[in-house]
Amino acid sequence: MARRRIVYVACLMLIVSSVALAASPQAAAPTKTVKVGVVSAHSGTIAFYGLSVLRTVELAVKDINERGTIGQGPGILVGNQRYKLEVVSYDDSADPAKSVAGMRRLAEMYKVAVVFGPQGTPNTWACQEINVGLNVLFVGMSASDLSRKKGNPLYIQERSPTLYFGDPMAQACIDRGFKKAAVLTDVNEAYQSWGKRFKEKFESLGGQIVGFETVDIKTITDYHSIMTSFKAKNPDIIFITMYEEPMALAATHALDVGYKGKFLFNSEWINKAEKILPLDRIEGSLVEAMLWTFYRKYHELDKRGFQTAYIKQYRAAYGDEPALTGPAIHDPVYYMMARAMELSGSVTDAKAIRAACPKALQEGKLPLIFPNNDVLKNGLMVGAPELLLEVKGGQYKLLQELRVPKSVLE
Amino acid sequence: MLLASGLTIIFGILNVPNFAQGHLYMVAAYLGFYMVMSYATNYWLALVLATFALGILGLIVYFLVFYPIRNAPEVNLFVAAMALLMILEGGALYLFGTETKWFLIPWSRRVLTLGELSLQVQRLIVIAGTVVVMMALWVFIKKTALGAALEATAQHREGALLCGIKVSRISAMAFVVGTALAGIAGVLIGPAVLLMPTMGMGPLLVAFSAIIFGGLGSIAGAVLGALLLGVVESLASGYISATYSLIVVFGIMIVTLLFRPKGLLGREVWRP
Repeated sequence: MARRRIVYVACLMLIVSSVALAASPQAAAPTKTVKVGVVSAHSGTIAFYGLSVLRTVELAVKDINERGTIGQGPGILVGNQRYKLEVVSYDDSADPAKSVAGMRRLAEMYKVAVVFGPQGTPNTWACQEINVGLNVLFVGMSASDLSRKKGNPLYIQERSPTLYFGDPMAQACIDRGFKKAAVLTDVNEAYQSWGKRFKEKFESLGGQIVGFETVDIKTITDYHSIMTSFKAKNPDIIFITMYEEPMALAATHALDVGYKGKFLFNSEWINKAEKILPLDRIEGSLVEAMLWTFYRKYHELDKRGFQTAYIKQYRAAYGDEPALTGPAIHDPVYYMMARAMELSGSVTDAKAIRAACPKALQEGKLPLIFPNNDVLKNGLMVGAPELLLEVKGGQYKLLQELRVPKSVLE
Repeated sequence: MLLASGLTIIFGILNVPNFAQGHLYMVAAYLGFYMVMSYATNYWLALVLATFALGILGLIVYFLVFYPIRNAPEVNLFVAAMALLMILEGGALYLFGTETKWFLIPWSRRVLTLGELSLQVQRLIVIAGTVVVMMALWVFIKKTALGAALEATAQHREGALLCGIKVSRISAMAFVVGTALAGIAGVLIGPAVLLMPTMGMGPLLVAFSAIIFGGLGSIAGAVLGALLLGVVESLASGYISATYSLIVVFGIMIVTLLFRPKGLLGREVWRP
């Protein structure tokens, strides 16, 4: 009798523990792997930016594989199945043709449904021609106003088109008494349209644009003659919109030829630029900055701490700080995509994953430095404000938040 | 000017358009950077060491790449020069990394002001250094036996051979001198620009334009071509627009070549 009771109890315990195991997804070990793609430049002149994208995705994958998207890891839970994420990457050397080849290879060989990258407007536009046919949802890193207007249903643009910041920047210049401005921009579509928008607004407010130059930073390394020409026209401020180091170099050359006025820099102005041209040499100048850039400098403002933790992890893993593209993709795109896979119940259906993206953000559970993000129907991520800073006493002083009305972006 | 002179010396002797000249200049700039920034070497010493290093590199490149195919069709030399360019760029990406680098020599970044004229000390060094090196090159070519042999070989290779000049040795020397000039240019300009593995392409284009404009194979032509192109480019940037300055530069160059196909100081060179 006692023996039969022991058998009953043992059976009961076995059943209870089996049910408990089945009912608790957290306890189930990850059994399958889903691949996510990265197409970015790992070689060539912008490899620093491209490697930041790859490494950031690798860090995020590691984090999600350990903790999950909303802390219910390990990995992601899609239906009743747990998945571990794995990164597969392709080096496009910033060449649009190679970006297309990379996306095709990742989709056909590894069956990825989600790709991070490529960087740059030409590369993004090239990939927009093939991604729908390949059933790939991708985050093309472009700051152009035209990228989201192409009507691609499987495209996510991670940043508001920068040209719209030209309006408040021009207003801020006029408010500070700058009446004459010169503009130096890279040939890149996003930068050029930013410069043009600034020019139009500045002139409409009664200011005068005394010089407007467009250069190709890949071929020009000497800005002395341009800056000499600008200096001769005596501007109060020079708006420089190009990549980080050339921007700092151009400003240095302006000072070399005796320019005494102020500068207005775009959001590429970060740590490396400061090393080339220290802040004490640009007192009173203005900097348009992303939230991440500001938090990177002043960690104490990052109340939620996600940005600071990310930079710390990145430095520990790779011995360096990421380029701007790293934070741009870290927050909020990557976690949104992984969570959208969970909410859509699919790791292969790009359309379903795309449809679940807004909900992934609206839940408010993701570890984002700026939680009030949204993704519009046209694929544009909106939410986090950008900032206008003033250099004062060797520090950055926040002047105002820059927001573009949603109605303009929709 | 230094790059163009190096190019024209190599072209005059070997008939090789050394497309890698810009990349040799890049290698020199990086060498200077590491010597100064990583090993705290005095800048002037770094300039001398990098020049010697580039000269030796030039010798190695000559014997490894160009000497074995010296009698091959010209197209082979073209392809070899292109391959060398790619190897140097790839090697630089691997060894020096993808990040741009920046010389920080505080004294060279000071700006001298005279009335309305402002000039960074490093720019002054570039100008003075170029003048000194060009004068030294002129003395070497015109006042030494080796220089005379170099010029004779450039003018008439077979004739030089018949006069007892060791043409293959002179060819090697031409390569050494040409690459050493690229070395001087790289370390001189390094502190005034950003260093990146592709930094040689822009100057290479200008240097090639200068030697075509001035006359292929003529050192005086290279100097004149570089000077004129530089002045036209600066004036066009200042008075028209930097966006269109290269159109003006190359427009003038094309018009000049229509009337003087051999360039400003080019002359007929006998080739077998």
